[in-house]
Amino acid sequence: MIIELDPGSKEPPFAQLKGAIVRLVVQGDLVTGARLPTIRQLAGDLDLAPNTVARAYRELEAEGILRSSGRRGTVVAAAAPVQHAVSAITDDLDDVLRRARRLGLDPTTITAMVTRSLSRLP
Amino acid sequence: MLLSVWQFVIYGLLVAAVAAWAVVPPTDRHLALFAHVYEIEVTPANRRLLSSAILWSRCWRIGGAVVALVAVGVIDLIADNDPDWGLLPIAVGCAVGGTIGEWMRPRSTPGGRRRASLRPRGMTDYVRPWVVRSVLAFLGLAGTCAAIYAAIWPVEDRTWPWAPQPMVMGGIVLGGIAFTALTVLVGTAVARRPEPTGEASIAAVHHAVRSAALVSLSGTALMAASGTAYFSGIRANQYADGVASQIGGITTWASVLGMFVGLMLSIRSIPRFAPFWRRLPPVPQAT
Repeated sequence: MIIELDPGSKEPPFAQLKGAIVRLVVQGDLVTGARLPTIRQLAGDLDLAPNTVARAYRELEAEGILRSSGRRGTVVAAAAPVQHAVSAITDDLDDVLRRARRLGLDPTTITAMVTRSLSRLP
Repeated sequence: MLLSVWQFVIYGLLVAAVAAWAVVPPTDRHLALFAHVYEIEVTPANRRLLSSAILWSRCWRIGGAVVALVAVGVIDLIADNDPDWGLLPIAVGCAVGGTIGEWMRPRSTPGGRRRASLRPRGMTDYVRPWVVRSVLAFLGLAGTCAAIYAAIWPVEDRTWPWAPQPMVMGGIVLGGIAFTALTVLVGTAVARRPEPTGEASIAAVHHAVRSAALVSLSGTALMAASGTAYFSGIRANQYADGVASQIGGITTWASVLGMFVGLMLSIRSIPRFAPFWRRLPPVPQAT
């Protein structure tokens, strides 16, 4: 399981790291109870400051995705919170797309709208 | 005294010859053997890296052995004794030099990459569990025999082996435990050293060098733990009675075996048996 951060991205490294871990949990590559590397190891491998990795881990712990497990280090707490969040977003997206179709917008236009919205995101 | 000086000169020349050999780059045969044991392929891209990594280990290990031999030689010359040609100073110097070398080994420069494997790395990912368990067992035996020795103190017959005060015995055993712990700490740092995930053949060399270093460090830890157990075990065996003496006897024989295996691991000898003590986790591949 390799994660990759983009040094040229406007998104800060800790947020990229968080996103990469969440993606692996959602995809099922990181299952509940899976051990993650220590902060020092990951910071060394990614050439980041340990505080950056610590912040990503801390925020993922606060969101219930990771858990500090004493001697075992940091482990994936449960995939459920992420999967619930993804499922809720998918439902919202379905609603929006249904409304767009009811207004008579074709898939190409909807795709262009979504792409435009995504490009406006920070 | 004149003879001692001549002996010392010959001794010094031998030591200098060994030291000179330490800086000769590894031969193709040596590289091929390392590649075979750690299941990697030597390519034009990774050859230089592998060669310098092996040379680094060899310089530090032989450097440690040379320093130990010189120190023992000087001490013997001052004390007007014959130089000690024994294996112990060589083994200890080699192990200490190897440990310092692994601590000092230059880290791979990430070069702006931001890629990493999410696999946690620890010493036990690279050496078989029995090695780590043996180290713990020997430390336990060392402590037990030191406690037996303290309980039977003062001993009647102090002719052989040297019968130190229990405080001295405790200090020596604690020193052995501390050195073992230090070796394990260095091993943990080596396991967590940044791991390149770029070009496959380069990543494979870094991976193999890390694995070899951890085998060597685990051997040093085993030598230190079993050496400590030997020191206390032989005294418990000699001075105690009954079951306590038998525990000391078993500890002594087991620790002789432990020191031998530890030495073999420490100098990464007998490549044929490498699979019995090393593990090779998969090389992280960039996707």
